[in-house]
Amino acid sequence: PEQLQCRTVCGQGAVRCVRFNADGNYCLTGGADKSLKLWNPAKSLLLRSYLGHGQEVLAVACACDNANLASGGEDKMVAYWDTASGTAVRKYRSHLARVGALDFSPDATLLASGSVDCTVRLWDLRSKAQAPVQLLTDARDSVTAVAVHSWRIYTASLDGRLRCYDARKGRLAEDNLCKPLIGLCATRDGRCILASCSDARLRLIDRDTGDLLASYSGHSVADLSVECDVSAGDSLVLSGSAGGSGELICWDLLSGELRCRLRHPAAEPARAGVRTQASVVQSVSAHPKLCRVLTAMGDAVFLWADPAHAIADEPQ
Amino acid sequence: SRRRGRLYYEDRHRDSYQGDDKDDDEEDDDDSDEFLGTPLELLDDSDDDPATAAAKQAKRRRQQPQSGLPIHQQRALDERGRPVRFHGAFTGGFSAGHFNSVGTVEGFKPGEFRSSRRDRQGDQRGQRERRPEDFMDAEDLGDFGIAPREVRARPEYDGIEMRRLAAAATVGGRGGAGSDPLAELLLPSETGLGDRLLRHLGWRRRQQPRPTTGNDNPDSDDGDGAGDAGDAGDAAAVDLLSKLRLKPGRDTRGLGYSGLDAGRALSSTTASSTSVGGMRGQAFGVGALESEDADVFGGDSMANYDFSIGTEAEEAALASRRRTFGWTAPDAKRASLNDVDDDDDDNDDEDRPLKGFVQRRGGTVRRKAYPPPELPAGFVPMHRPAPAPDALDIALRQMRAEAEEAAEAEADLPKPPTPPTPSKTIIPPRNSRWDVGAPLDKSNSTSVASSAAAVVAPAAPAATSAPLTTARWHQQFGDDPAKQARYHSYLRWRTAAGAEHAEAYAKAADGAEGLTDWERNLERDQFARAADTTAAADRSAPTSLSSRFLPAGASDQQYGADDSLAGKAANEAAADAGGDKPPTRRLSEWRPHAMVCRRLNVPNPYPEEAPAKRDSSGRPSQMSAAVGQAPIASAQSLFACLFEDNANAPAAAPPAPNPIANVQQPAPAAVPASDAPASTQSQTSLALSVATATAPASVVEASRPSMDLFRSVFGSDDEDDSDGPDSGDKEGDADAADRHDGGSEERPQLAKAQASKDTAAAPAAATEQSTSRMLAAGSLFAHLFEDQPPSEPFRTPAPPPPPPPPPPPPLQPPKPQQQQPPPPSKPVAAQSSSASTDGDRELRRLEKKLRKELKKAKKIKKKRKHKQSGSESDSDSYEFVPVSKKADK
Repeated sequence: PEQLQCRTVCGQGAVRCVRFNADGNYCLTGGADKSLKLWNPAKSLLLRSYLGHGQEVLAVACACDNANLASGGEDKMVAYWDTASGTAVRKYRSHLARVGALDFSPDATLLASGSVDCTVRLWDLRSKAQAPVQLLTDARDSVTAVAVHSWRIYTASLDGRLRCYDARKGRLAEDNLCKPLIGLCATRDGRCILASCSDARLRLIDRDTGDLLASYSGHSVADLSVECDVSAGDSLVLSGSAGGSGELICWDLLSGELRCRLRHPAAEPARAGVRTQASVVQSVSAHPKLCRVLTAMGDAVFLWADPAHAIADEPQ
Repeated sequence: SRRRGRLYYEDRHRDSYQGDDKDDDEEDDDDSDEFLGTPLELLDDSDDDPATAAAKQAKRRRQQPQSGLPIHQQRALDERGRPVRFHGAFTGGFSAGHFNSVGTVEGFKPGEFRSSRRDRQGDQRGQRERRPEDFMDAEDLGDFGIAPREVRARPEYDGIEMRRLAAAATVGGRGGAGSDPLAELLLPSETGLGDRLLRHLGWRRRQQPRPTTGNDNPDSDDGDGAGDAGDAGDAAAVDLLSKLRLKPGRDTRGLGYSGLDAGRALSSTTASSTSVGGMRGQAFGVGALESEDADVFGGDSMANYDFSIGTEAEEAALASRRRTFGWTAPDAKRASLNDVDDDDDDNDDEDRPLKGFVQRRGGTVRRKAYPPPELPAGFVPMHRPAPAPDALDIALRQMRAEAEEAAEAEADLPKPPTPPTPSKTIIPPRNSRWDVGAPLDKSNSTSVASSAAAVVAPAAPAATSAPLTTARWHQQFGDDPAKQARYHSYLRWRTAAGAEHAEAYAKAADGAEGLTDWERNLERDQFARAADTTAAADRSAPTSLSSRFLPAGASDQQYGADDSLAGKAANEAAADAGGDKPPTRRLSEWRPHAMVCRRLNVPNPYPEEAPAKRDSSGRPSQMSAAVGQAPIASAQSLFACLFEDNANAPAAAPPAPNPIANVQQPAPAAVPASDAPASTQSQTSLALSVATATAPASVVEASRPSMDLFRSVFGSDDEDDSDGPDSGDKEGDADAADRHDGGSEERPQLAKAQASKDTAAAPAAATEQSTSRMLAAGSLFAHLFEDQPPSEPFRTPAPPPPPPPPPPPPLQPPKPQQQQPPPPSKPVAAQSSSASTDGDRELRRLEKKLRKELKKAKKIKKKRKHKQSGSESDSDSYEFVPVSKKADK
């Protein structure tokens, strides 16, 4: 992804989180104006807004069948949305602090939400119960990222531990990385976990042994929440950066060498009501299949694409 | 009837009608094909017969363009060009009737029926024999019918007959069909390639031709060839063909294999019995699979035995023949140069090569032998393939590693230290799917990685590099096995036999040769140091482990704090050192909720686990222990957790503070004083102390008490014999509800009310009242919090062993009175001792009465509330008219 294909000013304040949907044709943004929006990022087309959060929307997730969305926010609430109708199917309010991480299980029957209250709560989306089906209280500090991969639930926490809850073995593996973790991403094949640490270093951890396989550096974090991701096909490691005017940095996953720094165009000066770190690429989401990346900086969402595929496979 | 009108549309819009004639559409593809350009005019042959002319005309009519007309105005024509009438459902469907004649003036006119009964000869005489075609429709004979007609050469014109005729013509010298180029062209190509080749060579078949390919029957070939060949050319051709004929191998056996031949093994005995005509076979003895009826009952003839000793050659031949046992392989030694053309079917063809092979003439050429290449020196003629990273292999290795890991964990981990309060941490047997035997402890500490070593680090810096396991502690000199063995024996001497250091080393190094004194001294010191380090580590290992067990008294935060203290120190140190510390992994047990497992599509790893025993975090028994320490904020929460049903019950488990101790404490001070303010104060403190009870002697498994208990506490009024007429079940329920709601605020009020009532009553009554009040409060809470016989607190001062309480006693309750100084108040002691002498029944009656009074008091209070709403204050003096009346009674 080398070319900026499209830039969408979302108009929802600072964009806290951006995610591709399951097939990668659309994207979700969670904004500081309490709204969750569904876009066609290639055409800058707003499809629907989901309103109901009381404060900023910090985490969004999309179910595997695109039928439902989930969002969590500053208002300690986890909302489960119906994509088509735009209504909140369920609102879970048992978190004690803001919810900063969300992920669906592979078949979207379970939702894991991580919060600043040091817990991860698992919600059974099939039942109507308001209480979480299970509470994971092992974290000693805020849970910053959650990823569910097949039957494993990965959580990253500021206590420097990367936890893997293996529901099949009934085992919890805690990897002490000694640095507060601010981001987490499982590779597509599920063999490795990419953890973003607050010392501006991404670490690639072997899932089974907990070994450190590689580490990537070159970006700057500056004590902000900067997400990382792995591109489709596990070829690139992507991370936002706080350096410069906002950069997306790509490393080669295997060799660890820095491939490119994608500078984001400078934000437009001083929109009314936007008070954000305008030069931080906060959120990164890689396309599930193609070589495309969505980044969020300030009040805009940027779609980066490979120039070869930029026009060819435009979503209809 | 299968007869349908053939529907044709002038236009190509075939979609305009749908019917069951769709299959007919395909016949008319020539009509419906789109074409460009001007169609050719049909040839108008004048000499055609009228039928074809009519057909052509019809076709022409059909092809007249109607395309100018819209669809609904175009007419459908049948194959003869006539308009088709469509029938609706009530007139018989689409193709009703005979040629659409039903419903017309002509009507349906079936074919003429002629009975064959009357006129049996009619068929034979009058007309030709019926053929199937007579009963078939015209469509059936079409290209797509069930019996399509096709043009085929008649038998007199097929190739064989033609050739015969041609041959006859050439013989007769008359030019005829044979010279006809058309006939030559029309010759069928069923003659084989070999036939054609032969003919090309000049061979001409004179007589009945034979198919030369695909015939596997040699006998018929030979017979035909021999019998019919009148001249030599044909015979030669036959011979040539038969020689070239190859028998294709249709099995997977080797070349020339013919199987075991019973005739060769038992050549003398299996003379086939000639069957006499007529009857064949025998009644008994042979099975259905027997090919020939052997003479099973026939006696053995002596001619079958060889009594003579022949010449050596004969003997050898006989022996070889016997040795073969029916083996039909050719005997190479005896192979001779016989003619191949001899009959092939002879069984005695040992001397010949295989069928179809010709013995080589002339001597064999010795092939030149090339020596193998010289091997380089030191070559090992064995190939060890590098182990491919097979997926199965990897998985197996992983499984093995995991098994070893588990075994090691359970074997080498020191036993977890006994929990500080053994009564509450009962570790249930581990019933996991991966259960490997010994229970992994259920708290967060089934550590196999070396993180424990990091905790140990400050204590034993030399030992941090070594893993925790005892076996590895002792593997200090792994690079030198002999030294290691000596070290082991040294340890054994020192620990098991209790020998002194020097003595132990002397015994250990007794048999060691090749050690100088200097080396011995060095080694002795090494061993001493290593043993000391090991001992220190062993001592510290359990403590480090126990630090990772969560004691019941420690809160969650504490756990996190001390965990992070050691860990953070190490981490910070590592980070300051500049190195990127490799991540350490810690494994522990995690019990996913059954529903989580189901949602994640995996089997539950702990299927036997009762779901109720798990708290919501999936970590067993930690939460409840922590909550047991947490101070209970108010009695209301106690009630709340008592009455709330299930989900939060384990989390907010009542710690069962021993209320009796707290109840007993203020009572003695209250009773002898017997004045209003002191009593009030004491009662208030009683309630408060109960509410804020913080010191649990034991954590009882939280469970909702049975309904009997509630009934006994908030009993229904049918038990109350002395109740007023106005009291009913409703009141009791309201009472219970009130208690449930109000909880903590009520108790002081109640106490105050009773205390003020006491002031009005006589001293004796006061003592009784206060005692029973105390009893009520205590037993009430005892009921609520512990399953305990209500008379328990009052029984303890009594010297004789108390009789067993009537309800089944659960736990033996701790007896706080024994630890406390004896109550200083004489009246209470007298009262309680007398009560205990009277027995439990008395006490129960007392308690019952008091409970009734409690209820009454509450009722009155409620009434008062209703009456003087808002203006009441707790400390005000009430008029307890009904109560005092009741008390008097």
